[in-house]
Amino acid sequence: MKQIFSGVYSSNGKLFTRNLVPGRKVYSEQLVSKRSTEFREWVPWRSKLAAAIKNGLRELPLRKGATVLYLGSSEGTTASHISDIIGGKGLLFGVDVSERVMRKFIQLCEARPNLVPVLADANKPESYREHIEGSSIDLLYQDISQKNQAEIFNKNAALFLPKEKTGLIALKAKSISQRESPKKVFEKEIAVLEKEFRIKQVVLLQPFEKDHAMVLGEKR
Amino acid sequence: MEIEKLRKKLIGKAKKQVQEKYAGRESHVIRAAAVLQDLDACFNLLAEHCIEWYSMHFPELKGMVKDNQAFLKLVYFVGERGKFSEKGVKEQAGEKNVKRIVAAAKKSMGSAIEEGMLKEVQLLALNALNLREERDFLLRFIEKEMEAVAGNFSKVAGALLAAKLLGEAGSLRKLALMPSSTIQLLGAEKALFRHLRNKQVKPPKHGLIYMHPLVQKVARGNRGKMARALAGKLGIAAKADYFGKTDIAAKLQQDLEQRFNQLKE
Repeated sequence: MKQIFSGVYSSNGKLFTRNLVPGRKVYSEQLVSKRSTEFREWVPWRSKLAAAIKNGLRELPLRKGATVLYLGSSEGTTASHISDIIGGKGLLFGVDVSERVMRKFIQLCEARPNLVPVLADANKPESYREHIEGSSIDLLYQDISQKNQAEIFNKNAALFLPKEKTGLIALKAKSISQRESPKKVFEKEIAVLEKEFRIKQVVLLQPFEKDHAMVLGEKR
Repeated sequence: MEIEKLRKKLIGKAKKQVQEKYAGRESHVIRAAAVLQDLDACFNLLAEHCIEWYSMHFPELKGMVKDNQAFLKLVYFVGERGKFSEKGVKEQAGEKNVKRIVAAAKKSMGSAIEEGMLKEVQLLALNALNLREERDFLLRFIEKEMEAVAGNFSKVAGALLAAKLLGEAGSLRKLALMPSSTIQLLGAEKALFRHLRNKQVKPPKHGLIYMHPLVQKVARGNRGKMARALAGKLGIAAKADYFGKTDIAAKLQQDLEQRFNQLKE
């Protein structure tokens, strides 16, 4: 086990995080025990953040005790690994609109003391502003397949993300245009993101996800 | 522990929101309508297999009994073609073609079938028939529930179409707040956006509404007009159901009939 980022381990080409709730799986990932610590495999085919790390993401501004705002938390696959990394003292707000996936995420929140569910539309950050404002956000993470994904990200960054903190967004080209080439779509979206962020890196997520890119930026 | 309190509060809130979403009767009808569609598909698939299989034994029957359910009943309740009698056929498949069927059974070119093999085919037929029965129960459930959820809307659209439109819209509230032009195109989103991107592609005239008998019966060139009229009335009906309790379905239906008669000529 080699530590590549704070709380992220690599072994034989696989990624792992230290399981915050030993003995419990979140999806169908493997559990591995090394010297009385239990690790959960972080599968890049299931989690875009893991895919970005595999493809050479240079920075992961997460450490023990960090506070994360996660837009589009879905059933909590990626959120659970961030939960592992930030540990018991950290905090993650998971925002999603769909009741269907929130059902599962709430169960996860009950098992993991650093997860908080917010059933709301990320496109309307005012609707959950009161809950988030009290915490200082270290990382804004977004994975939402909407046409205006960059705009949603900017809106939330403007409201919640302090200066010089990091934003990570998984762009999905096919939600924006079916016809234009992904490269062009990414260029346009990144131009939108430039308004709020200084872009530091763009990582394509092939082969794990088709026509997706992870964009790393620092809040202006 | 500020954060712990916040977390408890938000977990409670999210739970309540999820609960509310699925609390009403609406989501149950929506689910039932989706199941109904799949039950139809399952029944047809099994029936097709069963008919193909039985046709090795009695190939002429397929041409004479067009209704899948009637065919399966003959397979299950009568079975071997040697047992086909006028009375038995009438009981299971109705009056049509009875004499021809019995005659064909006598001189069929199909090969003989062993008891054990026939049993398998019959078992398949029974299971398919049971699915069909479940479908009918479910349809009655949808009719009953739609009447309670949105009486006016359900009467004008027909229960099944009403349930599908409701599912497409997401909830009665959303449906009631929709402009009628949106209701007209519910289910035709793909065609609509194809048109919006490229104006040379013609816009769709109807979405799910197409299933409605009044739209189907009208001549082709007038379907768009009929769909527009129907969508307008459906919009009114949905609003009446969501905001009030009055029964205005009869009046709406009458207006639609009138428009239908205009367009029929």
